Amino acid sequence: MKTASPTRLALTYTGLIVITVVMLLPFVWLFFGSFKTQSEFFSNPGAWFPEAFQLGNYVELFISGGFGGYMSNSIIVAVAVVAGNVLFSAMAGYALAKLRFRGKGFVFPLVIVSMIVPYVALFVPQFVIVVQMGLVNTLTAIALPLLVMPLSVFIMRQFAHAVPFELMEAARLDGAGESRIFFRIFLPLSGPGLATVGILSFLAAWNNFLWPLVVAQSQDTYTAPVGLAVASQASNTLNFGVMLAGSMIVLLPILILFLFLQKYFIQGVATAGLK
Amino acid sequence: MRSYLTKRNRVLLGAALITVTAVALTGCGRASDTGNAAGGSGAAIDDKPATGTVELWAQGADGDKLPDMIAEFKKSNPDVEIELTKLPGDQFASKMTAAITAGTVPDLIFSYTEDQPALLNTDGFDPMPEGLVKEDDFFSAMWANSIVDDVQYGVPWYTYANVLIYRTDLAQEAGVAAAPKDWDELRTFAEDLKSNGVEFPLALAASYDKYTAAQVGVFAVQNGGSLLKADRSAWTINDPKNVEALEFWSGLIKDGLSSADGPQFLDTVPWSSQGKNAAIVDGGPWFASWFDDANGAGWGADHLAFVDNPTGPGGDQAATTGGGSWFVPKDAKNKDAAWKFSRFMSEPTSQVKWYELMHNMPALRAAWEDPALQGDPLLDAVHSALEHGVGQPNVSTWSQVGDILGKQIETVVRGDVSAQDALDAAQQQAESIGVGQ
Repeated sequence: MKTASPTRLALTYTGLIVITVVMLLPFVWLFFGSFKTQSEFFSNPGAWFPEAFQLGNYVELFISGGFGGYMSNSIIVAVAVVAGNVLFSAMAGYALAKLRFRGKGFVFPLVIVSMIVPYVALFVPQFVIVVQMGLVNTLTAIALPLLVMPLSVFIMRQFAHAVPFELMEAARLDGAGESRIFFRIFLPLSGPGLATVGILSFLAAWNNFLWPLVVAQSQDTYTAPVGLAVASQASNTLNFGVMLAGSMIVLLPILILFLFLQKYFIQGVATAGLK
Repeated sequence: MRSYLTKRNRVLLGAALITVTAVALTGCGRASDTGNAAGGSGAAIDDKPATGTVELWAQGADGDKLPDMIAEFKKSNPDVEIELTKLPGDQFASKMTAAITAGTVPDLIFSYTEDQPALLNTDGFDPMPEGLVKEDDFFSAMWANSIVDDVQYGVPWYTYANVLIYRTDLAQEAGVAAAPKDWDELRTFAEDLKSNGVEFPLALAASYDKYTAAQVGVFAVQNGGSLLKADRSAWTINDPKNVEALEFWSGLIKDGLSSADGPQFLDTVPWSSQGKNAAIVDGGPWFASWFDDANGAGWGADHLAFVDNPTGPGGDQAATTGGGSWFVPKDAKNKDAAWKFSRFMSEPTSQVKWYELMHNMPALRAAWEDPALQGDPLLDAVHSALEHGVGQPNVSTWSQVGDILGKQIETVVRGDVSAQDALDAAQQQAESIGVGQ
C-alpha cells in the first residue's frame, strides 16, 4: 500500500488541528462565558475569560430557575422517544423490507413524502389533534409526535435489507412465527441500526423547542430548552450568563452520548446522509 | 432503475399530498370567524371583587415580579386565584397563535407592542369592555397600538420612549455646549466630535432589519412623513418626505459620522463607554442601567445626558415607543376577573408600584406625577418623548415589510443605490405583501 509522505501527513494533521480548534472556539467561549457576570457582558462582550470564575449563573439556573424539573421532564420525554423509535421503527422497517402485504409499494413512498413535508405545515393540525385527545399540557403530548419518526423508519428499512432472507426462511421452516423471528432473529442482528435510530431520535427529542413550548401550558411540563428560554430572561434583556450556563447543561448529555457512541454517530450520518 | 411507484400509486400519492396540504392550510387559518365582531366594545365590567381562577400568561422578565402585584390585587379581591405561567418572550406570539387556533387559551395575557399586530389580527381577542379605562388617561401611541378597525382591544400597562443619550464629557471636550435640538445641530454636533477624535460620534440602528426600518420611520415622522397611511390602508414607504429622511440618516453613515457596521446590540455600551461613539440616537432608556452595570454605579450620572431626539427641519418631534398591554382572549373562561385585574394594573398606585418593582415606566399619564418618578433626568427625557412617541406600523405584515425595508436601507448605506430607488423597491415589495387587513 502506498503511504503518504511525512510532509503531506504533517500538512494534513496541521490542517485538521486548525479546523478542530476553530470548530471548538465557540464552545470554549460558551464554557468560559457561563462563569461571567452580566456586567462583564455589557463592558466587554467579546472577552474570552471571566474576570473571576463564579458559579452564580449555575446556582440561579437551578435554584430560582427551576432547571432541575425541566431537565427531568426532558429526560423522561427523550427516553420515551428513544424507546418508541427503536421499537416501532424496527417493526415498520422489518415489515417494509421483509414482509409482503397489499399496498406495500405505496406505504414506503408515503414515509419518504412525510419526511419532505415541512414541519411548520404539520404543526397546527398536530396541535389540534393533541388538544382533541385531551393531552395538552402533558409529557405524553410532548413525546407523542416523535414516537415514530419517518427518518427512523427509513433507516431501519435500509438496515433490514442487509439481514439475509435465508435466516428468516430457515426460522419459518423451524416453525417460528413472525413475532418470534422479529424479536429473536431480526432485532439482535440490527444492533447498529437501532443504535443509530436511538441516537438520532434522542437528539430530536432533546433539542426540540417549538413543540414543547406550545404543548406545555404550565411550567410543570416545560422541557429544558423551553425552561432555559424562560430562565435566561432578566430585567429588560437576556441574562446572558444564565443562558450560557443552561446551554452548557443542555449540551452535556449530547456530549456524553457522543463520547460513548461515536462510531454509531458516524454510521448514522453515513446511513441517513445527515450532518 | 425501477420506480417505487406504479401509475396508480402516483395518483394516490398526489391525492394524499393535496389532502395533507389542505389540512395544514385549514389549520393555519383563523380560529373562527364567528364570535364577537370587531365592531364595538364589550359589555361593561362592574366594581364587585373578582372571583374564580384566572390563568395568566406572562412573557419576558415581567413574570418574575408579577406575583407581588397579584398579592396586591388579592387584598381587595380575596376570592380570586391567579395562576401565572412564565413564557419565553421571543416565542410568545407563536405559542399564543397556536393556542388561539386550538382553543386552549389562558384568561389573560400581556403582549409587547411588537407582537400586538400579529396577535390582534388572529381575531382571537375580546374588545376592551366599555368604560373600563379612559383613552385620555394614557399616552396616545400606546393606546393606539392595540386598536384594530376602530376597536380598542388592550389596556395599556407600561411604556417607554427612546431618547438621545450622549456623553457630556466628550461634548465638552469638543467645545459643544448644548445638546443638539434639530437635524442640523445633530450633524454639527457629530462633526465637532469627529474632528475632536471620536471615531463614530453617532450610534444608529445598524442591524438592517425591522429595527433599522423603524428607526428610519421615526426620522421620517420627524420630517413630516410616515411609512403607512394614517388609516393603515396602504404603505407610503417611498413618500418624498421619507426619501429625504433616509437621505439624512444614511448621509450620517456615508460621511463617517456613524458606522455602517455597528454598534450591534451588546457593543453599544462598550463603544460609548470607550469613546468610540459619543451619542446613541433614539436609544432605549434601558441603556442607562447597562452603562452603570458595565462601568460602575454612578458612571452614567457623571458622563451621560438624556434629552429628546432632535427634531426634523419642520420642527416635528418623534421617538420610538413601545411597552406592553393586557388582552383577554375570546375563549377565556373567566373574562370578568381578567378585565378586573387589567383595570387594577392600570391604576396609578399599581403603575407606580410596578415602576418601583421593575423600573418599567407607567403608560398612565397621572402616574408620572408621583414623587417616585420625579427628579431623574432620564425619566424627564422619556416623559417628554412619550408625548410624541411613534409606534411601529400597526399592521400584521410589518415584521415582513420591516425586514425588507431594513435590507433596502443597507443597499443605500453600502452601495451606490439612491434613497429614492431603495424606497421605491421597498414600496413595490411592500405593496405585493399588503397591509394584512
